[in-house]
Formats: sequence, structure tokens, C-alpha cells
Amino acid sequence: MALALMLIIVHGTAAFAGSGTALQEKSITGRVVSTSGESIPGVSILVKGTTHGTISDIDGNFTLSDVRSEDILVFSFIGMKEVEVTVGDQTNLEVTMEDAVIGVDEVVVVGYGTQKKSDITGSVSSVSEERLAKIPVSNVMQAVQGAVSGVSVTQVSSIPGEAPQVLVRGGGSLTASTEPYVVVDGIPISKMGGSINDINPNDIKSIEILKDASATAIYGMNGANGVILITTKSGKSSKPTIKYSGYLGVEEFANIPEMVSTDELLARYAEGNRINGSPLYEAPVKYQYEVENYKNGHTIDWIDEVSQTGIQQNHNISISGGSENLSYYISGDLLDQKGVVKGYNYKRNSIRTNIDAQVTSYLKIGTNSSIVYHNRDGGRANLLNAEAMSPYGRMYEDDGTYTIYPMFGETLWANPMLPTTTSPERRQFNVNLNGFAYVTFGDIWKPLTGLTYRLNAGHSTIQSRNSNYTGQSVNDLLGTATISRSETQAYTIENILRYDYDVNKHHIDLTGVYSSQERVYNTNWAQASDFVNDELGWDRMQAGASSSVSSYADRYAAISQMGRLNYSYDSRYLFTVTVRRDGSSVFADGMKYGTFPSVALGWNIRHEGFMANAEKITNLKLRLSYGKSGNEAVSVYRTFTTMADRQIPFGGSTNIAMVTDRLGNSDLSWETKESFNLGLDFGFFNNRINGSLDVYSANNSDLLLSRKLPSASGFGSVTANIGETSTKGIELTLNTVNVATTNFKWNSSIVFSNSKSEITELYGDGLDDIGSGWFLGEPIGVIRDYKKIGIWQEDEITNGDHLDWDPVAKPGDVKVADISGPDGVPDGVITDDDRVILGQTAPKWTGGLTNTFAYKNFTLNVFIQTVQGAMRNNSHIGMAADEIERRNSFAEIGYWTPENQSNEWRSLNKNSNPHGYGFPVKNNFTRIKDITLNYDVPQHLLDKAGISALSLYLSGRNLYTFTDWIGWDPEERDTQRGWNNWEINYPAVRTVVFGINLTL
Amino acid sequence: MIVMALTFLAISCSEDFLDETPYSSYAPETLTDEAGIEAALKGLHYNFGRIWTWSDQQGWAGVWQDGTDVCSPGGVQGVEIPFFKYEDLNSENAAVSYMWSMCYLIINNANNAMVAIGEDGDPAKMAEARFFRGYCYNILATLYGDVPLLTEPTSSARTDLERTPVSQVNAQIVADLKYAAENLPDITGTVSESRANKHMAMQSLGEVYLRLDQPADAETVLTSIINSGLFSIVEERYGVAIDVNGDYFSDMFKFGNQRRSEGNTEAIWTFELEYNKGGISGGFTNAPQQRRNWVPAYHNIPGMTYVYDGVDESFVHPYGGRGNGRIRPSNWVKYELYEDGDIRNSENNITRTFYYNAPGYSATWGIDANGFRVAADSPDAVMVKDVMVGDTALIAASDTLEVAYPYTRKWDSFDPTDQWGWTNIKDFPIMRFGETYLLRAEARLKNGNAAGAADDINVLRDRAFKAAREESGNSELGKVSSSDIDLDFILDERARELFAEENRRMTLMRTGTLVERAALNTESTIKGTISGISEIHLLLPIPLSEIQRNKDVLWEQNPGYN
Repeated sequence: MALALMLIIVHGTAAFAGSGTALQEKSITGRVVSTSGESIPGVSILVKGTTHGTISDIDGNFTLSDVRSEDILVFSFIGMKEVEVTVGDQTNLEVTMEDAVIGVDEVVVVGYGTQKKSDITGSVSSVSEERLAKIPVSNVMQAVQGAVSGVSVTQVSSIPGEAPQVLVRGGGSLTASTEPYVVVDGIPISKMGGSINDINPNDIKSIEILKDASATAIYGMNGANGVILITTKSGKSSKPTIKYSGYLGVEEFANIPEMVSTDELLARYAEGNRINGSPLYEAPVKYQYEVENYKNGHTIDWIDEVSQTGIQQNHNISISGGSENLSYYISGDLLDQKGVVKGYNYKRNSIRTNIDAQVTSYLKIGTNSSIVYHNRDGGRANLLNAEAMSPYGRMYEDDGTYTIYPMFGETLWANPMLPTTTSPERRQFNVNLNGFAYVTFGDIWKPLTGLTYRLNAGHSTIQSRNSNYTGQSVNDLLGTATISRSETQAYTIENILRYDYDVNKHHIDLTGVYSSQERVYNTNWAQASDFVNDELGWDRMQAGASSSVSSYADRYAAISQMGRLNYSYDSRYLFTVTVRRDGSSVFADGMKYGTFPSVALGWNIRHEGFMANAEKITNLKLRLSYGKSGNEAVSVYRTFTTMADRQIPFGGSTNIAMVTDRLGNSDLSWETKESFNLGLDFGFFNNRINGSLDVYSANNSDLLLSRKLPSASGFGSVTANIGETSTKGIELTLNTVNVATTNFKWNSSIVFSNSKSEITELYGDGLDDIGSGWFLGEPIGVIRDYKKIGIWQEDEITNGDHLDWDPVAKPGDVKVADISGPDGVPDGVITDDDRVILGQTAPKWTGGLTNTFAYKNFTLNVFIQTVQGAMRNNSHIGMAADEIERRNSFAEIGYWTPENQSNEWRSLNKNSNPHGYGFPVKNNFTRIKDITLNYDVPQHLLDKAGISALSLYLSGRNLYTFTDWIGWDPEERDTQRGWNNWEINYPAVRTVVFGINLTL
Repeated sequence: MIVMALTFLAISCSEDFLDETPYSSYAPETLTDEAGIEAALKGLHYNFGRIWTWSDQQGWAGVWQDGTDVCSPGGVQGVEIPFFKYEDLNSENAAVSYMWSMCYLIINNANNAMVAIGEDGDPAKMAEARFFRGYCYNILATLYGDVPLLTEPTSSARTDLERTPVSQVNAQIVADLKYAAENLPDITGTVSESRANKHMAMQSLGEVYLRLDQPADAETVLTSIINSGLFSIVEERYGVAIDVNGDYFSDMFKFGNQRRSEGNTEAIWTFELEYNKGGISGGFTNAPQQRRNWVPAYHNIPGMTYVYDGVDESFVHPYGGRGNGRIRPSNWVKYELYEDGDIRNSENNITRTFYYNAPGYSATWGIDANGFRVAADSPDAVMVKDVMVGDTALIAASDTLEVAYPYTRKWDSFDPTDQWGWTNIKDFPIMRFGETYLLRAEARLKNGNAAGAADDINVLRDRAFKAAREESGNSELGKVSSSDIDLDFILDERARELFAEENRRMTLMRTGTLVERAALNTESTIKGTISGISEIHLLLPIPLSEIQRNKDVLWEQNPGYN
């Protein structure tokens, strides 16, 4: 802002002062050199505020005509600091450009402080502010998705307001939580009840992701799954900057699987009648309520009925600025989403206030506080049921109300629109009050120079309420009202003492941390039913004849002490050692504390004398780290055997009964991760090619897992420390500048991650745990199942081919391989011995490719993401034979008949999958994830309007997916009929957004 | 803020900062007082209820009936398929593992309760815990043979369980049930209705003695129930349904009529499944599927509906509420089992005819040569008929499989506020005095006293033929004599008396007669026919997951299973 104003002034002055010569145009020549005198080819030279310019040739020379003396030339080149030169009287310029090597001066947040990027010994990935600004997201992790190596972000749900699932370096723990630890401005939101969804992406200045043990050691127990550090924006001491960002977008289903035609549906009914004897109400239709529409030739597209064009909009205004001793950043944000399925709504309103005050020369205090309101109100249409509805089903009764069961007498699937007649409220308030005080002791007493103390204190309160009433419109004749409320109170206190000492080329810094955390959660729930009518809903629950209440509370606490020493010599040799001691309430008495050391070395090869002349190499750094970290990610109270209360009537009145609930483990202790990381950061040709390569290995031991027990013991599972896993991986980030001319630039960025995990030990006896599904030498999540090799055909059964293979087989059954028997050879029957490990549930590798094309003021960004090597049971296929004779279904899933003896699809016989094959398939996919076209309005136009910056963009998300998956989406989260959580059935969406970023 | 921080710091430094105390759960060791022990004993009933209220696999009820002499599959769900297509029965069947794990859940809870009660504790409380332990081990021994015998609560993870020889398990069962029979109060003395009484333990013990081939002991214990004077055979109409269609036999199975306090003098053990109304919560834990299994899906006949508004406090529905028709009586039951005049086969107890009940219904249908409904313009129609509300409903040929068949009324269950009927709301009759006579008849037969057995059977027949005798004037109608009695006859009579009430599979496994009795059920339909049955099916397989999870001791699978 200040710069812009200055330019306007300068510009204006020149215009007045030089009015005599201003119109005179001339030609200018020159040469661009580096600090060492080498010429630099390919430098972009532009007349500021225009698209007029040229590019330096192989010798660094350039010529530019039609310039005026008041023009300012902007010299830019990737990896160099930008240079501006006012033309003035000059006709021949010699311009020297300095390296702007990433990592030399750049300071990044590393946890309990900052560090020069060049001095970091750990593996840290950053998400550029540019990416955050240019890709409109409702959730910050969407911007990280696929853009950072080693971080896998799965958008398991597109439901407005739901956070994606994040995994750093493929997890490694078997059943303990694998979510990374999220810290905002030094205060964790993870484990304190918060969600990544509580952060307004517009407020974010930077995101750093700490991946290896050295980087995460500082977070100890919380670092095992990686750490995501988010820094929010702060003001600068200048005139106020007012910024508006907004976007408006539309959403639609990314993919609608083709449903069967009506003819095909009737054929399926008929086949069900033939093979299972399933009744047809009035052939060819199956159900009573289909008769009328069938006879009238009337059909309903139920998917269309439950869907709508999704709309999302976001408006964010921020004001930042400050004076000498005070800076501020205040923002307000409104996000409003209307989902593609009716009733799925989300509103998020947030306010953030970040204030830093330099109270005295030695004391700085500040606050980074936010209030967020989430609203997910709305009666949600049931997509699962819409998918099942016959096109001949009945939508409305004569009185205009929804028909409860459109396929009546089938009552398994109610009208998908019924829930839209209710108006549940789902609301949540998060209040995060964070503050800090920062003391520089050197300003109090000179000899203490380098010693600082920082106190971070954060308190968060999360209040939520869900209210629901169901009445006659959803066939709840009694009427049922429920209200659930919950409250989380959490605080974090951190005392951070730091000492920095520089002498000659030696740099030492010491950090000590003492912190404590506590979270207290409580929830209560009330239900009432049997109301006189539906008028009052949940607002007067005592009007229900029958009511019940419940409540629950728990507490979590942790204490940590940490010490870290960084030493560097001449920014060439880097050394970090960290020791952290963590105590967590979740472990057994006497097992609560764990100590986790780590050590790391770095060598900035580029800074060595012998590299001084290696002009082509801009950056070269080797990193080596080794460390241990702990994982405590199990729920509270797992060390106790507990009883649960239940209700049971005796003699017509309710009694309380006690039953065993969970088996406790009084030996429960830390899971430990020991990891080793070797990394190389590189940059060549003035960083036209740069990136980093990391290889790592990690061993998790004493894994916290839910071990299956024989139920004859009275319990089915217990949480225990068992076994070891080993993970090896490689991560690559590569950025290249492919073309750089005056008006056209093309940058590419590739991220690639590959990791392989295996279980190396379970119980020390060299045996697998088949009961729990764990196998030595195999990854953690595997699919162990039969090998399907086709479908049993009639002639095979007639020939008796099945008798020595699978004697129970019938024509049309799934044919699985007889691989083995109790003696290790095929035994002529299909048993558990024939199951083999078919694949793993986690992807083998993931990749992302971003191409950015810039032409004049236009920037086009294309991001493609790929996920390969994972396998998943396809429940759509799994349930098919049991259900497609009586509901609508996907056209792609077929079935076997004697006339059409498919070798792919089984018959509609209810027992055509007698061995319970799970139909696992690869869910590989490649997605055109984002395309964004951005236009920066030229500066000279803005200047006239007094605007500092204005850009407009058009962005598309989830534009196309290449996959063989049958269903809505390879990442879909779906639940089949019979489970209560049907609301999670929500399709992947395609979004097109128009946005604007305006800075005054 | 610094002050605040220091305050927090002070708190966090306190010694017990990291200590855990569950706020919202009880620990077993805190339940050792009187009330805690009572709650733990009630918990045994609760978990027992979970066995029969299971709805995750809706075909669960069919598992115990299909593939025997008495029942055939209707609209199958899946879990029950291997119980009539026996070649498919393997150790991964969900029913096989559910019954196993529920029994052991109750056993571990009982062992917990016993520790809480203590050796010197109240014998009546100890007896209730031991009753459930013995009862569940009896199920396990009957179904699985050798099973792990655990008599101590599990306090830490175990994967080293041994299968105990069934003879040892039987000894524990007898000891538990004897203790229970001696120390439980009689049915009039329990804390509240439906809690364990000594006659439950005695009836159970009688059945165990029969399985162990100790008929003398069986007769003794069963006789003491009969001679207790506390129970009597229901021979007169009673209770809430007295004003609606029915008879004294059907009265015992009506909502609001099943408990002793409601007038049912045959009730030894009625599991309360409260209708969730009037402040009574609890009861059905899942969504018991009995009605949906036993009642046919008659609402699929055009002109028939399960919707019924003429409900008073009796909660009686003319057709029993909405069914899914998963279990059908076998042809043997439908057409051969009953003699004329047997009230247990009356239209009130086994309904065979439907009358159009959809308001305003009228239609024109064709009737084919076999008397089945076809379209009026069908070439198969041999005649055309106009029908309307109140007429006998015409059924289509395929309707006999799950839509319209003769069905038992013991599992009627109608909730006017949930007419489409997700869940059963009626009590479960677990033990009835009528069965006591059947068990004693079996004991007496084995003791060589066929005449005594005939006497016991005649007690039931005097009731069953009471009305017919009055009507016909033939006081000998339905009477049996000692020459009629053999084990098959007793099993037939059990079917007549206890159809849809007893666990037929367990009865036939207990008596070792499953294979030959299943041969009576010869019907062959598209829904499934009994196949692949052999002597190996006198035991169920041990659940595969149990074998795999118990990794430190290898268990042999029961013979014939893989």
C-alpha cells in the first residue's frame, strides 16, 4: 500500500515536473549481470504497469524501444530479487541482480519459534501464500491437497462444512489416530476439540508442515503424525490496508452413475421373481405404489428430485495496519454454502482479531483470537434412498404431502424427500482466546542479549447444539424431539525460554519449553416422544409423554518439558538436538511419561568455499535426522475396565442394569516412533530448477491398537501396546521454470510420494494375527479375501467341475480360486485357507502436478492429482445381488441369468455369493483437481481508481476424474441401507467459482 | 494475563494433574454394594434379552426354525440360508458366532457378579447369577459341544483359552442350576416380576438332565414344578383380549396378557419387552424381528392392508400387524400335524384365511384352474370374479411363499403408533408350564413309564380338545394312551403345543433327532429345500473368528466343518 502510494506520488510528480519531455519516446539498451559479474539471459524487463517489455538475450543484453524517461523498468527473473530502475536520462543501463535464493533469508515457522529456512535440519514443507490466495477453498486443507509431498488429504466427504481427512507420511500406527497435529499461532487446536474447519482460510499467512522426527520432535507426543503449523496474518506498521476477497460459485454432482432404464428395472424385478420367487404385486411392476405410474407411463428421476444447484459464496473483509508500537489485523468472514443435495447447508461466520503491541522496549504482548460460528441447519434429503427409488414410485399423496414409502409395500426405503420436511438445527460456536507475552531481556539488561521469554496462553470454548424434531411428515406418529448439547473447555499454557548467541560465524540457540494442556468435555442429550401434535417440536419437550436424558463427560491432560539446541557454523554446518519429555493422562499409572530425543545434522554445501564458482548451482543442502517420538492417540479411560448402565423393565417399571462395557488395560503406555530421514534441498540455474528429495524410514513400536480377543473371554477387543511396523518412503518436490519470456511464463511443480509400510512384529512369536487382520511383512491395512476368477456357469456345474473345487457352488455363483487347504495345497473346498492378501488399503503412491501459465496479466493454474495402488471393497457391487431385484440401481452392475451367462456378474439368487466375497477393486484415480484463471488488473488502471491491487479469477474444482471405480467417486464415503448414518451419503461435487481479491 | 498463566501453571504442577478418573462410567469394583449387585444381576437379564432382540441379521429367528421339521424359508434374509442348505453351513456364519459370543458375554457378566456378591454373600443373588451361567453354558454345550469353561471374570486380555470337554461343562451346568434351583425364590417371591425364580432353574435343569440322559433326575425336578401348586394350565379365557376374537389358548400370547400378573398362570419365565410408553423405557434393545419373521407379508395382496385403526387397549390386530413372511410353517405342520378339534390349530392360533380389509376395495380378478388369482383378462383365467372388502382374499400362486400362508399368531405384535412395524413390542414367552408336562413326559418315557408320559400329554390334550369335546360330546376326543407314546410322538406334541415358541433346532439337537426329524419336511420350493443335512449338524461349527483370535491355543474344529 505504502509502496503503491509512493509510486503514485512519484509518478504524479514526474508527470508534472517533466511535462516538457514526458511525451518523448526513446530506445534504451543495457545488460543484466549477477553480483559476480556474469551475464544473465532470460531476464524479463517490463515497463511497470504495462505489458510492454522484452527479455535479455544469451549475453544478458537487451534493447527496448518506446520508453519514456519517467517510465520504471522492472527486471525480474526467477530466483533473483526484482530490480526497478527509473529510465530518466539513461539510454544504456548496467543492471546488477542479486540472488533471492529461497532458504537463505527466508524465515519459516518451525514450532516454538522461527528459523532461517537455510538453517533447518528437518523436513518441512510449506504451502505458498500464493496458492492459498488463488485457490478458493472453504477449508484450508483443500489448498494443501496434492500440493505438498508426503501429505495426503482425502476429501472423504463433500458435505458442506465437513473437514477433509489429513495424513502425513502415510501414518504408520495401526489403530491409533493418524491425524496430524494442528497448531494455529502457537496454540494447538488438535486434541483441544477444535477442527481444521474452524480456521478461515482467508486469515492464513502461511502453512508449514513438519514431517520428519527432527522437525516434529519439538512437539513430542503430538508430532508422531506430523504437525501442521498455521500462522495467521498480522498487521504491518503502515497506513491501513483494506482488503476484500470474495467468491461466488456453483456446484453440481461431479458424477452421477447411470441408473438402469425402466425396461431394465422391470427385467430385474422379473428375474428376482424367477430366481428367488420374490412376489410381484402386479406384474411387471413389483410394488403396489408403482402400478399407477407404470400404467400412466409416468416416471420420476429421484436423483434429480433430491438435488439442486449448489451455491457457495464467501465474503471476507480484512483491515490491517498499525503504528510504531501497535499493529493489528482484523477480519470478518462469511461463508455460505447450499449443497447439491437439498437440505445440506453450511454457514460459517468468523471474526479474527490479531493485535501485537510493543508495550515497552522489552515487552511485546498480543492476541490472536477468533470467534467462529458454524451452522449446519437443514432437513437433509436422503440420497441413499433416492438412489434406490423406482422411477415408478409415488412421490405425493392426494393431499400434497410426501408419500412415506414411494415403493409401498416395500418399506425398506422411505421417500428420500421426507427429511426435508424437518428443520433440524446443528450449530456450533468456537471461541478461541489466545494471547502471548514476549520479553527480550537484552533490552532490560545488556548482558542478557539474546535471551527471550514467550508465554503463550490459549483458551478455547466450543459449544454445540443439535436439535431435531420428527413428526407425522416422516411417519413418526408419536413425534420425537431430541436436543443434544456439548461443551469443550480447553486451555494450553506454554512457557518458552530462548537464548540466541552469535559469535563470529557461530550461531547457537537454545529453546526450553514447559507446557500443560487440559481439555474437559461434557455433553448431554435429551429426548422426548409421544406429543399431542407436532406444533412445538423441541421447544417444549415436557409436552412429550415419554422422555429420556443422558450425559457424558471426560477429561484429558498433558504436561510437557522440552529442550532444543541449534548450532550452526557459517550457515554451512547445522546441528540440532532436541529432547522432550511428555506426560499424558491417557496412560496407566506409572506409564504416563515418555522421553523422546532427536538429533539432526545439516550441511549447506552451496555455502562451501569450493562451491563459490559453481554458478549453476544455486542451492544445495543435505539434511540428516534421527529421532524418537511418542504417540498417545488413544481415547481417554482405556486403562480402566468399565461397566455400562442399561435400562430394563421389570414388573412394568424401568430398572437400571449394569453390564460389562470395555476391558481396560492397566499396562497401557506410549507408542514410539523411531525415524530416520535423509534429505537434499537443491536449486540449479538460479533456481529455475529447484526442489527437495527426502528418503525416510520409520519404525513404530508398542503400537497402540485395538486387539481382537476371543469373545469367549467376555470381551471382543482391548486397546494394547503390541508389535512393530516399519515404513520406508521417498518424497520429491520439483519446481521448474519451463518458459520465461517477457509476456509468457510457464512454471511446473511436481510432488511425488511413495511409501511402503509393513508389520515387522506382532507378539514376538513370529505369527500373524489373522483374527485382527494383521500379517507380518504386509502393510497395516490389507484386504484379505478370495480371488474371484469368474462366475460358475451352468455347464460347469452340470459337468461337476465344482465338486472338487467348491462343492456348494450353483450356476451364477461367484467363482473363487481354490488356492490352498489346511495342508497348504488346494483341498477341493473353499475355506478361509483360500483367502489371500489381495492388496492394501492405503495408496502406494500419490502425485500432484501443477502447471502455471502466465501471459501478461493472466495466470492459468492447472492442478492434476493422482492416487495409485490402493484397494477397497466396493459395497455397491457387494450388495447388488441381494438388492437389485427390488430397487433402482446402477446400470453398470449387471447380473447373471441362464440366458446371459455373465462371467463378471453373479446371479440375483440371494445366496450367489456364499463365501462372502467382498468385491475389492482398485480405487486408483487421476483427477483434474483445480483449474484457475486469474487476471490481475493492470496497475496503471488501478492507480487511477486509487486501488492497490485487484485480481479476478475463475476457478473450477474436481473437473474430471479418470477412474475405473463403479459408484459415485473413488474417494466416496458411503453407507449402505440398514445403517443410521445415511447422511454421509453425499456425492463428490464439481465446483465453479468466480472470485475477486481487492486491496485498497 | 501473566497472573492467569501462573495460576494455570500452579494447577498444572499439582501431582494428580495427569490422574484419570472416568467421569461417566462405573468400574466393576464400585458395584459391590447391594444396589450395585442388583444392577449387575439385572444386567444378566438385559444381555439375555439381546440374544432374541437381535436385528442386525433379520433372518436370525429363522436360524432356529428353518431346516427342521417345522419350518421352511419364506422371504429369506441370508443368515438363515445355511440352516436349510446345510452344505453352506460353515464357521463364518454370523448366527453361529452371535449365539456364541452372547452366551459368553452373559457368562463373564455372571462371573463378575459372583465376585461382587462374594462367597459369603446372599445365596439368592448368587443363585440368579449361577442360573444365567448354567443356562448359557447349556446353550453352548448343546450347540457346540466342547467349549471353554470360564468360571472367573476376565480381567486382562486372554488368547489362551482351552476347549473343555463337554462332560466337565455339563457338570458345571448341573451344579449351577441345582444351586439356583435350591436358592432362588419361587415365582411369588422374586423382587419383581420376571426376575429369576427357582422354577426357571428347575425347568432348565430338567431339560439338562434329559440331554445328559438322566431321566430319573429330570422327572424329579420337573415333578416338583408341577407339584408346587403355583402354576396351572390355562383353560379359560382371561385378560385384556377377552372381548376380541380368540380363545383361551390364544389369550396367552396377546399383548398385555403374557405375564403371571396379567393372568397367565402358565408363565414360568416371560421376558418383558415393554412397549416404550408411559414412562417405561428399556426393553427392546435392538429391533426384535419375531413378528416380521412369522407373519406373512399379506399386505402385498391387492386389497389387503396392515393399517388398522380399530385399536383399543388390547392392541389386537386382526392379522397381527405387518409381516415380512420370512418363516413359513412346513407342509407337515400345516397339513399333517394337527388332528381335528385341536384348539392349538384354531383360526385364532394358526390363521389360514384372509379377508379383504383395505377400505373401499373392490376389483375384478380372474381365477385360474388351481384357484389362484390371475388378471381378469389372463388366458389362464377359468373364471372371473368381482371382489370387495370383506370377501375372502384371492391369492396368486407365488403368494404362498411369503405373502399368504397359514401362520402362527403367537408373534402378533401391533403398535398403533408404528403400524408399519419396525419392531416387536410384545413380551417373549421363554418358559411355559405347558412345556413342563412335555419335558416330564419325555423323562417318564425314558424311565419306562409310557403310561405316565401319556398322562402328561393328556393334561395338554384335555386343554387342547376341551372346546371340541364340549361341542362334540365326545369326552375322549384327542386323548392318547401309553401305546401312542414314543419320542417321535413327544416331539410331534411339542410341535403342536410349542410351535414358534420353542427353539426347535435346539430341541432336535438336544434329542439328537435333527436329521430324521428334518426328513419330515419334504417340501420343495424356489425359496429353498432342506439339503446337505447330516449327523455333523448335531453340533454347530466353532466360529472361525474365535479359533483365529484365540491364537495361543489351537482349537480343532467340530467334525465335518471347515
